[in-house]
Amino acid sequence: MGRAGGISVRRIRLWALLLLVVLPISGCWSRIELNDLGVVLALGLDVGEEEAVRLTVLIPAPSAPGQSGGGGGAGGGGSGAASPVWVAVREAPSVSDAMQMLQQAAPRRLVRHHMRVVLISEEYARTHGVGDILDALANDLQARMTVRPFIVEGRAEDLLENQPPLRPYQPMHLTGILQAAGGVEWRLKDILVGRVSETHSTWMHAVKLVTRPAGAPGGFLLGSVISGAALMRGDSLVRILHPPESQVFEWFFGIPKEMIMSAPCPKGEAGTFSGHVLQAKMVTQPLVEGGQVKFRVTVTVHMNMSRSECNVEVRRRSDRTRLEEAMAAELRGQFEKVIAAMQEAGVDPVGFGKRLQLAYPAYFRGIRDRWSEVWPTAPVEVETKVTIRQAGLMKAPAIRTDRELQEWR
Amino acid sequence: MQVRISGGLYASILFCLASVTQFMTLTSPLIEASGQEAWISALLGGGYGLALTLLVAWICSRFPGRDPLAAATPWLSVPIRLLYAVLQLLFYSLALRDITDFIEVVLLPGTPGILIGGVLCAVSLYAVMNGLEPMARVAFGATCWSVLVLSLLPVGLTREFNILQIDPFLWEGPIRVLRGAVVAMPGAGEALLVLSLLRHLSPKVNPYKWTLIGLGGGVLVVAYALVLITLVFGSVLPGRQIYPGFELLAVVSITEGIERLQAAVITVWIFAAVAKIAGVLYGAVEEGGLALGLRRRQLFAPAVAGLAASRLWKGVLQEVTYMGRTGWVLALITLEVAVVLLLAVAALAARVPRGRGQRG
Repeated sequence: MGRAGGISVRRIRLWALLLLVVLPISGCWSRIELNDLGVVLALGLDVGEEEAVRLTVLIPAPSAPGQSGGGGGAGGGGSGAASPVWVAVREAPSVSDAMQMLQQAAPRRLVRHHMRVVLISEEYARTHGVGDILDALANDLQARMTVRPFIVEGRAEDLLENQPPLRPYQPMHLTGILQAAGGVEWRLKDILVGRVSETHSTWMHAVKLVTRPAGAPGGFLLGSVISGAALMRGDSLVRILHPPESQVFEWFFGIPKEMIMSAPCPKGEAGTFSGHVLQAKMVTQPLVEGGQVKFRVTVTVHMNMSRSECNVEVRRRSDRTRLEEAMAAELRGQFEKVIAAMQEAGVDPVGFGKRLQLAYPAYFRGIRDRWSEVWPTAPVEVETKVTIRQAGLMKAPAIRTDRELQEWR
Repeated sequence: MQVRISGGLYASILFCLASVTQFMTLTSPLIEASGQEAWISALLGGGYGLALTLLVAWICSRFPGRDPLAAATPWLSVPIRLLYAVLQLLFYSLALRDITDFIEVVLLPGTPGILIGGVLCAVSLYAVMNGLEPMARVAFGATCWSVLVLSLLPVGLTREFNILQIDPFLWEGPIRVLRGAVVAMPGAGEALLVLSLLRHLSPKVNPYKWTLIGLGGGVLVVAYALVLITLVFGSVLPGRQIYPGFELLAVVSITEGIERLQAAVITVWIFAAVAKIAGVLYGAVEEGGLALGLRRRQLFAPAVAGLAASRLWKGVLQEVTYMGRTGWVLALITLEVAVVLLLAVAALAARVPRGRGQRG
């Protein structure tokens, strides 16, 4: 009883159950062969000519047997060299519709698990806003929170069609620039957090194509660069800051080391001098006095001098102090410009409001609904202090000074 | 032969009950309800679960074999066992649905949920048929892995923390914290499973100590995860995400070479989730079987699991989730409190006659 040919019924049931379990977990239900995947590395969004949205996708083209990998570059393979990427474009009323149309034209299943960047043209961000694409990305199961959205000064499609130097694909080129330059890594997650915040507004890095006069024959005549910081009010682009303001703007999110700064020589002397930042500290302090809010931004920078056209002896304390004061004044001016630009645009991407909320919660509670009105008129005082630690290997310019020239004559 | 488990295995089951699925599915509704102070809500809800559980442990410890219902009269023990079995069945069906949805959405998109749920149901059924010890050992392994992962997680998230994403303390007010605590309470009450577990706990083991370690540890882990989530995603965005706990793991990216670590973590947590659903199914089957006087549960267990798994079919119930609905929350809390109160009454009734008899 209970045994069938020496094997217990219980054991048979167990094996049957295990087989039942094993069969569906073999992973073959929704499998897609690697050869059937089209890995989307970038999305580009432009205003369409016939429809509202013109969506561009960049997909690495798999190399045929015998060909080198996708890193060969467009210019390196002669006339018969295949492009390492497939850039496809469709126009549709919405991002999702365009994606669907692209899928219908693609011989591979388009997947966005490895997507690195999303490029939104300036025109699109100003006219349609970025809300639709951010919502689509936030809802996309495949897109990751580490995707980096950019605003393109120009057309996103042109940028994606450009073949960059040193990196095989444009998305890697853009993320590589940010990493190599020590720039702020501003990703989808950061943008979404700012978008739902009651104190912050959002921003994105801006990029553009620039002409490279020294481009090698056959390629790289155009190159992409990080061109600034695009400021949003709500989901609409309102302003793009360009260097040097955009570089200073990024200080609010983390100090880029080795950043080069230049300032005019002190005492009205012609020429400039430059230094690279070794270490810096920024403190933004909200103050409420007499029911009015104001902010004090204190910036302390330590730098090494990189070059100088100024007729000063750097080893002399008084001369070095003049250089430090000149650099501090330049830096203060740039900070004031950036803050004025943000107030003028009515945006607060760096968190002045959040700092006020954290420091004076009761006060902020009273103005939380009016913060967007209070911020543009709030006084902001900027204090800067620069210390030059080293002057490299020169104590003065390697040219004769005016005084020396006169004496020599 | 009565199966006995050690204090560590007992605590591991409680840890998995109180932490893993809460981390997967409860973080979003909690943050939506409480905002940044969701971790306080989790602690308050956990405190409720701990109070109920310790009360049950106290009642059980006063009876031989830590089984007060065995000593109670049938007219009291049978309804309590049935009520308890229904509660565990409800927990089972809810957890099965939530874990199925989680796997279907983030791990195996494209695979039908009914299939995933069927596998989970079959595995939990197999675990129940094989007794308490195998599932306790799975829970123990998953607990060790969870503690290791959660201890190291802040290292991977260091660059994601931003002080400018947090709000002042109690910015949204204490009422929202209390509202969140109510959302957390039913999940914490799942630990009432101790009523079935305690009788299998080795008699030498202090039940209070290991209940505190297992359940308290699970509650602390959920609160800790909520702190991490709000530090990384702020106080608003996670409430709008479906699985912020998963996103917390997915956002870890160290030099772009070390990323997508969530796959390794979540896979193990699926085991923990299976241990949990197997545990609650075990509770439903054991108490239901005792109430109905069934000695062999080979047919009863599949029937119970099948009843719960019927919730996997798409339809109206698909939209039912206790986490966001006041009716479900209150119903579950009422059931939990009712089971404990009735247990207390049964225990009192069982002890009073015995005391009189001894005196007489």
